[in-house]
Amino acid sequence: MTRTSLFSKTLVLIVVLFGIIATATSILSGWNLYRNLTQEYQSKGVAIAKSIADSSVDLLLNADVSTIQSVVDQFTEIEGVSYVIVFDGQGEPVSHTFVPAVPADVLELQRQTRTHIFNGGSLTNNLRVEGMGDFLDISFPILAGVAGYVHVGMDKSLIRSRIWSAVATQQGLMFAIFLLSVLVAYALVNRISQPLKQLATHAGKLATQDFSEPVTGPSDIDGLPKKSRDEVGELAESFITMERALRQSVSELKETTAAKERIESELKIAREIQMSMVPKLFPPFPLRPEFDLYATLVPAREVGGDFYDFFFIDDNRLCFAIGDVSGKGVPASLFMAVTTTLFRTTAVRVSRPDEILFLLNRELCRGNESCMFVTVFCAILDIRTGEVEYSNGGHNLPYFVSHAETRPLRNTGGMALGFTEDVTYRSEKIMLRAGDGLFLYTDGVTEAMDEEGNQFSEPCLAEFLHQANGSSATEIIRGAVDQVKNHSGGAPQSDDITALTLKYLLTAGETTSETIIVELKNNLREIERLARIADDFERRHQLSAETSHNVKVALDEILTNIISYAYDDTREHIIVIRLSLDQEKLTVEVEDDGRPFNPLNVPEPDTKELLEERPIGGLGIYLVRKLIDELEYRRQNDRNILIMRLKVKEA
Amino acid sequence: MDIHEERNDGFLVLGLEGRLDAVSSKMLEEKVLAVIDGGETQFVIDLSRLDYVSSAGLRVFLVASKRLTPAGGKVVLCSLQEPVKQVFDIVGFFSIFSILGSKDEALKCLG
Repeated sequence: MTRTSLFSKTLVLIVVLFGIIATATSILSGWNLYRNLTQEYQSKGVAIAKSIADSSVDLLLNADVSTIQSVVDQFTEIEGVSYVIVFDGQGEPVSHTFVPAVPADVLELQRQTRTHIFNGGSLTNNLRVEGMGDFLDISFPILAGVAGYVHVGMDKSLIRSRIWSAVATQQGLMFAIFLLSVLVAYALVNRISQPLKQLATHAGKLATQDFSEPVTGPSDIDGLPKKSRDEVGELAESFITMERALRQSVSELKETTAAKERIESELKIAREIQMSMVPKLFPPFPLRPEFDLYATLVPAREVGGDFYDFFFIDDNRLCFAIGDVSGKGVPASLFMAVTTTLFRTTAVRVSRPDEILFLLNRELCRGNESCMFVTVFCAILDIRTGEVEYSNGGHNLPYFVSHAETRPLRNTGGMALGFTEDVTYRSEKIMLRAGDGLFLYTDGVTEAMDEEGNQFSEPCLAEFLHQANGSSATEIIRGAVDQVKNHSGGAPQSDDITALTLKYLLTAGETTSETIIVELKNNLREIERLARIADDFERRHQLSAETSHNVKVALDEILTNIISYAYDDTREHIIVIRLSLDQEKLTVEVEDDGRPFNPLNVPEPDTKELLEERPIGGLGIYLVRKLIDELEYRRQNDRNILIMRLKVKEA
Repeated sequence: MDIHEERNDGFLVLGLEGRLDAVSSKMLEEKVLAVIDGGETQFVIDLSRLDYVSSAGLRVFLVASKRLTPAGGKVVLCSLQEPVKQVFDIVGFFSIFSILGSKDEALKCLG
């Protein structure tokens, strides 16, 4: 289509151009020819008329008609001369070349001529003679018209035919030139459009080509830039360049993708290796019922810089730690791998947390050219006594969670490891009683951000730990991770989330007595928290489900009463609960600062009454009395103290 | 505590799950009163998944029954777990409530 269109456009243009030129030149040359020929004929006619007039004077005067006739006849031989007529002084034709008679038009013209004043010249008229054609009539007076007049008629049709033949010749030439031009243009257009068409076909093929395959042979447009050294050649050149660039970028993309896939698969393996470096089998020590331990590590990327670890350094001492390497990704994970390996080997050599950190720091500083550092919290639990000795190297302080309080551990003031060799670390001790726990975490927990950039924060974590008191280590860790993820919502995880919980338990074999103190706020929701703590306590001492249930119902009833009715104000009050187990007796003490109330004075409802007579309330205290073996009440220092005792039935 | 609502043989069955204490009893009370106000005169409360009940919870059952009985209605309880059964026993609820072993029996009792 390109070729036809280009060619036909050019053709139309040439036709129009040639048409205009041909018409213009024809008109111009026709007109010129007409003027020249007319002039020539006129002067020729004048010359003839003059010579006849000159030679006819004597003849006319002598009335030698036959001689005049022979002169006149002589002139008709000359090209272009149609007729010659000589009039005498009276205006009568003397001799002429008309056959058979002089036409009326000529006679009429002679009459007009007689009135013309010649002044020595001639007179030219256009004359049309019916049946003979158009003439140029040149009249000349003989002896100023006294002797007569000569009229010479020049044939105008001859002029016309000469003009026509001249124009025809010119047009023929023009047409020949035109034809030649068309042929040349055709060849030219073909020369231009052929490579264009070739390019178009090539471009069409390009679209469906697989650029990832290597080139199979020379391309069909390779020769074009050399063949046509014009804009088309340039276009072809850029086509070839584009194709080459495309092929190159496709092959580069292919290589990049392959490299990316390889890196991703390597990262996946690296993640597996990293995850295998932290213990993941829970419960980790099924034969050691003295403690409950659970931990998790959720990397933000494929690999991360967080770690946790725990292992026995001897029969009775459990070493556990958590750490966070500066930065993220592969460099952090490599440093983490070095740290955990060194940590294990160091911890079994020296069995004090401060010394472990000291040696670990020294090892990490050696050859640490990338200037990375790691924060580590390290602790050792004596499972016989519950004593924990710990040391901190710049890490977030773990939370101590007991029935009475939830607070961060006291800091030992050490700095992060890997900066400088000569750093010493201090250690602290804390005693865990049964049910107490430690919550170790990395900043990925507290600094987890929601979509608006708000951090999960320490107070939120502390509140969660307070509420979760009494839950198992697994529940606490999973609950914490859930809380963090809920907080983050749709925001991407910005840092590794790592946490470890250790809860110290007592085995029934080792002790049968324990006291725990729980402080509750005057809020009904606190009762469920207390129920969990009580459950935990009872599970630890393997009390029967019945005992456990009775204690929970009794505490629930008493506390609901206190929280609902004991206070005249809306301020926060603390209710203290002491749970103590001694041999076969479980004692529960509830102490509050509300208005005096002795539940023992509440009259018993009649449980035999029919539905209609039953009051809606009043069953709570009755339930307590029925479920608890012994009840004792006293008012002391403006406080209500209720003591409930149950005989323990072991499960 | 969660309340599961379903309809069996045309009767409404409220299934309770978890702890019924002072906090959750308020929720149950609202639900039961809404059901009664909605025109239900006979329905079942399924306690098969209720682990724990305190006097605040017992109160709701009493309220429901007191509202329904004068109008000829009835609430039937079923499938009590052991700790719940013990509490019901202490306060003498077995004599004033229709308490049945299973949901099917409870529905049969209404139908």
